[in-house]
Formats: sequence, C-alpha cells, structure tokens
Amino acid sequence: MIRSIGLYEGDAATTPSHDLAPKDKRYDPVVGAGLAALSRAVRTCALIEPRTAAIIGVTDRGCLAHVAKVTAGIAEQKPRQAFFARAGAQTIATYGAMALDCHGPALTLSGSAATVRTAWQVVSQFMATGVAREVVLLGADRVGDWLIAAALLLHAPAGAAVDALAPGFSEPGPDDSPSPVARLHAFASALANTADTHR
Amino acid sequence: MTGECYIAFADASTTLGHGEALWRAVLAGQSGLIPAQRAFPSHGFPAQTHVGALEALPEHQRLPSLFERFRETIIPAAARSCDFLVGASSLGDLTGPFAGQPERFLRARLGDLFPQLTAERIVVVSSACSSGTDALAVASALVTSGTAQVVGVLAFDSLEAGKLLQHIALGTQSPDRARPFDANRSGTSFGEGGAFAIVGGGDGLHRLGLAPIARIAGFGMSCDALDITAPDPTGRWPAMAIQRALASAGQVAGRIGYINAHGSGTPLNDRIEAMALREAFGARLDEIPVSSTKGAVGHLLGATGLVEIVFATWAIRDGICPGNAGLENLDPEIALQVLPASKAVGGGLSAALSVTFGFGGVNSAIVLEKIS
Repeated sequence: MIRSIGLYEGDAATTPSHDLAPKDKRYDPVVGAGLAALSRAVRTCALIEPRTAAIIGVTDRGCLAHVAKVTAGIAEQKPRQAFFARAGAQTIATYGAMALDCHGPALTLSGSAATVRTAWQVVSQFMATGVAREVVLLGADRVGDWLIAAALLLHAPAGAAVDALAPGFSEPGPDDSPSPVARLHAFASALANTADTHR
Repeated sequence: MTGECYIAFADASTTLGHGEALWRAVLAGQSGLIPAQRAFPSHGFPAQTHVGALEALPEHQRLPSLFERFRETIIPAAARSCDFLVGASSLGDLTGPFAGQPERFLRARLGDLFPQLTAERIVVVSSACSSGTDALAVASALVTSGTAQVVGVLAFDSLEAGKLLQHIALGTQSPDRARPFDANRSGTSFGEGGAFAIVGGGDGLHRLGLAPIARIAGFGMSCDALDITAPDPTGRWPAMAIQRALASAGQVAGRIGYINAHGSGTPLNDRIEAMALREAFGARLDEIPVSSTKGAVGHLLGATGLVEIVFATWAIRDGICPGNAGLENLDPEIALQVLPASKAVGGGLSAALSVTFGFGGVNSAIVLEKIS
C-alpha cells in the first residue's frame, strides 16, 4: 500500500530544490522541503487518482520563517500580506495539492512527535471509509538548523484492507527532536532501505 | 473499524456571548460586529470598518484572554474525561512567544484543563478557515476508527490588530461590514472567539453520562489546488466537497432542512458557494433555507467552522433556522433561499449541512442529523 517514499534533509540556509511546478512559488522554506520530498516520491510513481487524492500534512512548528516576517511587519505596522497568506501550517498540504493538481482533502496536523501516529490513524480511517483511497502523507519541519521532510504515497484500492502500519509509527524517533516529521523521516528511511516500495 | 460519532456537547464563545444568550441573540437577528476603532483604538482603522472582535482584550496576544473566557464559559467539566483533544486554528496570535504556533499555545495554556491527556493525545488541525470543520471530521475519524472513545474539539482564533491589517491589505475585509449574499456586499468582517464540542461513540458518551444531540452523518472535503488566496471561479471543487458529504450521509442527505453557509460576504465567495450548492443539490436547493451567521458574529478565521457547526447543531435541536444578519437586498445572482430573519420549521429539523471554505482552496462540508 505504500507505493513510494520521498525524503529530504538539508541545511535551513539552503533553498530546497525540486522539480515540481506549483503555480505559486512564494512558499515558506518548510513547504519547499515538503515539495522536495514530494517530488522525489512522485518522480517514478505518479498518483493514480489525483482527482480525489488527499494530502495530509504533518508538522511541529509549521512555517516559522513566514511567521517571523509577518510578526516583524506587525512590529512596524506594515502589512506583509503575501507572507501572511502563506504562513499557516495548512500550506504544507495545500502547496502539495497545487503541485500535484490533486483535489481531495488537504489539511495539516500539528503536534508532538506522536502526531505522526495520529496522522496515520486518520489516514487509515479516511482510506478505510472511502474518504480518499489515495493519500499523500507529507511531513515537513524545521528542526534546529535543518529542514527535514518525508512524503509517503499511499493507496488502498476499493475493497482492499488497509495495512496496519501504526505500530511502525509508534517506534521511538530521534531522541533529540520533538518533531513528528523526524519520526516520519526515520520510519520512511528505514522502510525505503528495507522494502521495495515502488510497486 | 467503523462506528458512529455523535455530538454530545456544543457551545461557542463570540462577540455576542456564549450559550443560550448567544443563540437567542443570533436568532433575534442581532449583530455583534463593532467598529474596529473601538476594538483597536490606537491603530487608526477606518471609522466604518466593523469586526467581530471582543472588547476589553489587549491589542496584542489576545489568545491568553480568550482562553480564560473559554475556561469560564464553553469548556465543561466533562472535558476532563475526553481521551483525545483535537484543536483547530489558523494562526492564532501573531505576537508573543507562540506566534503562529497555535498547537504549542494550546498545550501550554490549556493543558491543565486536560490533565488526563499526554502530548500525543493533542493535535491541532490547520486548514485555514476550514480548520474548525475539518477538526470535527478528524475527531469523527478518531472515534469511528476506535482510536478514541470521546474527543474534545476546540476551535479558536484571535483577531489582533496586526492580523486585521493583513486582511485589509489582502482585500478580504469589508470596508464597512459583512453582508453575506447581499447585492451590496463588499467583503467579510473578521472576528475572534472559539467553540468547543464533545464527540464520541455511543459507549464513550454513555460512560460520561452524556446524551447525544446530533450524529455526524457525513462529511466531505476537497481542495481547489489552484491558488493560495483566490477560489476556483467554477465552484466545481466546493461542489465536490458538498456532494461527498451528501453521499456519505446516505438517506439523511434527503432530509437536510437547513444549510449554514460559509457566506463570508466577499463578492466572489458567495457567488461561487451558491453555484456549488446548486450543483450539489439541484432543484431541491429551492426548498432548503440557507443562512450565513458571519453577519452576526463575524468570520472567526480558524474557529469559524466549528462555531457554525454549533449553530447548525442548535438549529436542528430547536427546529429553528437562524437568519442571515446583515442582509438587506439579496443579490439577484444568488439563487438561494437566504433567510432574512430566523424561521421556525414546522415539524422540526432532522438534518442540517454546514459548509466552510479556506485559503489554499480548501472546501469542507459536514452533515448533522438530529438525535431525537
């Protein structure tokens, strides 16, 4: 059911590169990291049902850089509306939707490291109940001076049982990070190294 | 695993108050919109600009004060027995130590109200102004999957002066006040506040001694995937979200007797929403009363979805559809049965639909069924 995995890890001072072409490129660097992971996931494995595919984002701190620009503008009583409109954590999901032209649910869950497990439970239920048969689980975060992101392309054909991967998401992540994306990244890295995920 | 998910408690805190006083004010057609100059006297906003801001709050870092109000008003003692908390917010405060990080703010400032919940049982949904609606859908998924028995859902957002400044620059804020679906509408009136709901399965609610008010009969979500701020002018993706909600509600969809529309009051949104509802319902739309409550309490950003679901829940509970505050002359291009004033429904209401849209082109719809 995990069709493809894309990973990104890079210095926060470096703009993440990717080969997707969202119409709007004024996104936060964290969103850029997400797009970089996403582009690697779809490079060899396109979405099957883009019209209804969901993108569920996961993050801890969201779009810190854009928020900082808006708060600096507020201190000077200057509008920074372009950054403001792109400062919400939802942009991790909505930019992904724009980049892949997919039209199912698009939302982002913010929380502690274990939020990745909650996200998996929501994704599983969405797939099991037909809310979306195809889901991109897209984590993106800034952790210290690093941007990290992971994208998992998941698909459950009609009538197919949804795999119970939740225990995998319960495994401890890197101890020095509260980020759910660090946990997702570690899980996806291990999976990418041990399984043929490009089915 | 699949099961049912019910709403057993629902309340909202807005510029018109909370609880039954709020509901009576909304049904009476009152508007809690106030001049922005009154809410933010030192910022020089235009005299005619109205907002749904709460008075007597500090100009910056308003969430701490809002959360204190929530403690005293809309969060009941039963919340301490929830085994999961799903928050909803767009950005929260844009100043202070938790600027733009509502999830961290929620854990830091209200964690003591939920001592039973570790950090892993708290999550915040961000889907811009659909966050509140999507949070209820996420909570429903957690209940119906068996992950949680009883979930608290808290939607909140603040309107600092700095945030209003951004919306004025974006052109979404009306120069005067929100008039959803009116021929002379000119934008929305942003506001602040929150809502709290307790949802759960039958067993979980029984354990807490809570009686269900409404069943979450179905929900649908979609994304325009077109633009960060502007909606797709065709309305086809919000129509898909509504159609999916109706399809997942099954036969209940045929009994929908009230629609709480997103109805932001921007010229484009209201026209697209009317098109989307028409595509989803067809001719039957002419039989269903529609209203937006944003003219009464404002557009509560990331909280607006759950606040409006609270109104829809109360509407089916009492069999009364709230009127569309601010409406003077219905736009002739809006082919909806917009209610100029509240209306009791003979025989009661058995189901309602609530719709919200948000930046990024997110569209959400949820169907509620009355539990007799």
